[in-house]
Amino acid sequence: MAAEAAEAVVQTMSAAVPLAKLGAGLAVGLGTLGSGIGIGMIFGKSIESAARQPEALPLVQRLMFTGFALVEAQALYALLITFILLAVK
Amino acid sequence: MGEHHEIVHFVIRLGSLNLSITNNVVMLWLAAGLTFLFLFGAARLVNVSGTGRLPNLVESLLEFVRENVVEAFIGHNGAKWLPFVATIFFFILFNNLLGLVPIPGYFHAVTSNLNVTAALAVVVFIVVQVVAVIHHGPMYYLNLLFPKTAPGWLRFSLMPLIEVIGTLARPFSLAIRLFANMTAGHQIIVVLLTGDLIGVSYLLKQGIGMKLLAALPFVGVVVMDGFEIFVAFIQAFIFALLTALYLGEAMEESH
Repeated sequence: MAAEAAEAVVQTMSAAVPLAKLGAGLAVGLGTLGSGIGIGMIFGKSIESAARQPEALPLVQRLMFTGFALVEAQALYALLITFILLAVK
Repeated sequence: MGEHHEIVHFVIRLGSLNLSITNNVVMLWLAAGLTFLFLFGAARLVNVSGTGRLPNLVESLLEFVRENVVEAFIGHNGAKWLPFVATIFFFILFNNLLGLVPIPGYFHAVTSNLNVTAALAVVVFIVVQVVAVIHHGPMYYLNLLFPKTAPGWLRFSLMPLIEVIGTLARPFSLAIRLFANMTAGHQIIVVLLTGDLIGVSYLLKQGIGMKLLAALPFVGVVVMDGFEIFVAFIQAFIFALLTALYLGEAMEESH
């Protein structure tokens, strides 16, 4: 009786699920590499240029936020693939 | 993944078309109503009394949008596109911010739903195409697919493919950028809160010294909430900026 109850709770997964979960981890892990480097470069160069020429700060700040959002989107494309892969049954 | 459960208020089905009033629809109406009240309310207050706190706030935000988004990318034609770009900015901003209201189960950011962001991206795409065709005529597509600035052998073999993919990638990237930013932020908060509940239930079972530490795990959630407000502004700004950029590109004389 306990075995039947246990069987009723166990769900079956297809053979692709372990690979999908591995892929999900790899996707977001590798995807954020490039985005991290990009964001670091954007902010580094913005700070450097603002330090060289403080009157350019408003322009630099605007371009900085623009660049940040565009680069972060790349990492989020990878996160989207992770979500898709996590939903594999 | 924590999906937002759809609460259907009022079922409207026309054959296979499902137009039911769900909580997503109510949240969209709420954001649209807030945008309308915010902007038109400020205009009415300026007409009535000349100055005020709400008009000052709206004027500063509109000036921000006008200077950094419209003027920077559309230039001289910019003034007539300010209403469209500003509406997109405020609508997305209010949608994003409504997701931070802590009423569980009902208030959520509708922009964390890919359907909503895809609809907005498709609207922008159609507007940009129509504007380009009105401005340049149907020759626009000829000049787009076979650009004059490319050498002859590239111009007819590879450039059409590159240009088609590039043009179609824009609405996709707009939709996915907004959707993924909103979803990721809320997922992080959900994960932190789940961990926090486990930690707090453990701490509360200990002595009185540990009980006082029970508030600490929530500091992370508060910080993430602050970051989410920042992300809400940034994502609305970026969407409006890219809309203005694509519009400016569609209307430019050269190329």
